[in-house]
Amino acid sequence: MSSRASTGQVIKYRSSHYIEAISGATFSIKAGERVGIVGRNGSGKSTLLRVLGGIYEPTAGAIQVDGHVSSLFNINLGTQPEATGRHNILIRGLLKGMSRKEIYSKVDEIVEFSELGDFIDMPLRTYSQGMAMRLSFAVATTFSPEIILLDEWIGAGDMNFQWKAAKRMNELVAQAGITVIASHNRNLLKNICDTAIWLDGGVLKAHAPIDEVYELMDQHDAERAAS
Amino acid sequence: MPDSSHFSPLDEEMSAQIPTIRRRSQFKAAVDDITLGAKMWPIWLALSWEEFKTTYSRSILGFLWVTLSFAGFVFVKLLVFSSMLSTPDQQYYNAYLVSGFFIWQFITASVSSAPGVFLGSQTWIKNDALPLSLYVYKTVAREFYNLVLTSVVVVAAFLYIGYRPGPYALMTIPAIVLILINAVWVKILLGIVGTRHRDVAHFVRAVMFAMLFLVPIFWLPEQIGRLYDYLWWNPILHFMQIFRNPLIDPTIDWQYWIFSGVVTIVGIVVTLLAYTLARRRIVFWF
Repeated sequence: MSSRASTGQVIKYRSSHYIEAISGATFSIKAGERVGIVGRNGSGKSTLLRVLGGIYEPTAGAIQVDGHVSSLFNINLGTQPEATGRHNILIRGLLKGMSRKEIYSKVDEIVEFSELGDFIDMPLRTYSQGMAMRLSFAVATTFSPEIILLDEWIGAGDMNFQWKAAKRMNELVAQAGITVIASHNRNLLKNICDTAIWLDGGVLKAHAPIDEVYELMDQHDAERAAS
Repeated sequence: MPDSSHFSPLDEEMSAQIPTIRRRSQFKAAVDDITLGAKMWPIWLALSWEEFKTTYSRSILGFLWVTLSFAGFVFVKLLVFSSMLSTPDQQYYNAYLVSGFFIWQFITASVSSAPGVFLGSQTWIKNDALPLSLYVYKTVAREFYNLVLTSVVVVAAFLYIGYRPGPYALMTIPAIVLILINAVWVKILLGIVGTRHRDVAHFVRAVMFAMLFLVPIFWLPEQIGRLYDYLWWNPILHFMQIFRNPLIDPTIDWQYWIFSGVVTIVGIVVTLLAYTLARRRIVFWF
């Protein structure tokens, strides 16, 4: 393990440099599973999420995804700062392949969850970070909620938001959806997830019930600290 | 239940599945990307319109600025060039200059922005698994709005100089369609290269800047003699001519259409090949 740190490897090949972000990760996530992706900074969590989201095609191996994927890797997700919240909902909905009618029928639900009130008709640039986050989260979980992929930022919300997010996730699981979240926030993940995938240096170390994974990680860190 | 054994042994169920997951051919994936993206027109129209409005939001004149700045430009050009050059037919030259400059500024804007077409949409590309061509269509549509807004100036200028186009003017419509089709492949092709090599955007901008004087806007073909035989090989000249010719000449010159058609076919083929090789790598080049 000495040559490999906890991040992916830089590989030299024909005078070019490549980064091997993930290798040898084999797992399956079943309907209704809520998975936390854990591991140190640079261990490949975001890369794995993007592979699951179909944004990065794996250079080797294969991935099979059954169901509509809704991914949220960035709070701002290319929203239009000059457009109102309502219009941004429309744009996101269109991007998800919904019809205008379907989108308009969901707007009230989104406004209610995101607690935006009259701000929904204000330009997005006037929103606080928290408002933008709640809106993004509400939109991502409202349209095509079969499989949801969320990156780190979800842990940045306040307690009220995290509580609401956890509640929302539980509702989705009742519909046999899949949620995958990458985060360093243990409390958040323990509230939302039942299992976890532990990545270390781009290698899948474990895929097990979340408490077991955290135990293994702590053990690993203790050993590393001792040596 | 999830697999609770650690260090991920390949479970039997999954190893049975893996051989059945066949990779799509990359060529088919590239073609699908382009056709699927086109089918998502309600999305790219909405996105491009939103972007267009955003550009001019919080200004009093809004997108009237597009029309006004072009009108100012045309006015100055007419003032300087039509009095400077001694052309036999002043009215014809003015119509030639205005319509030529009109289509040129669309082509040059479209080509110059092409290398950044994927870079400019990277936040979206990195978040949603949508066809990349969607962002190409979005950009072409946004630039098309500019074309529509500046066309008002051409109409006004034609009325002012008293130039009345004949029935052949209808040929400008298929010409615009062909130019838009070419804008799509040029954006994909230059978008690929421009994402990988950041020098390309600067290079293209420099070339287009210099090309202003190598295309027939300020000069008439018969004015520059032998030089025209060389400049004739520039594809952009032909795309300009298929649009302008029917507007100001009472004939259709098929040489321009044939040349443009060949360029379109070759361009599409080359772009499909490049897209086949590069499409899935683009996101790694950001």
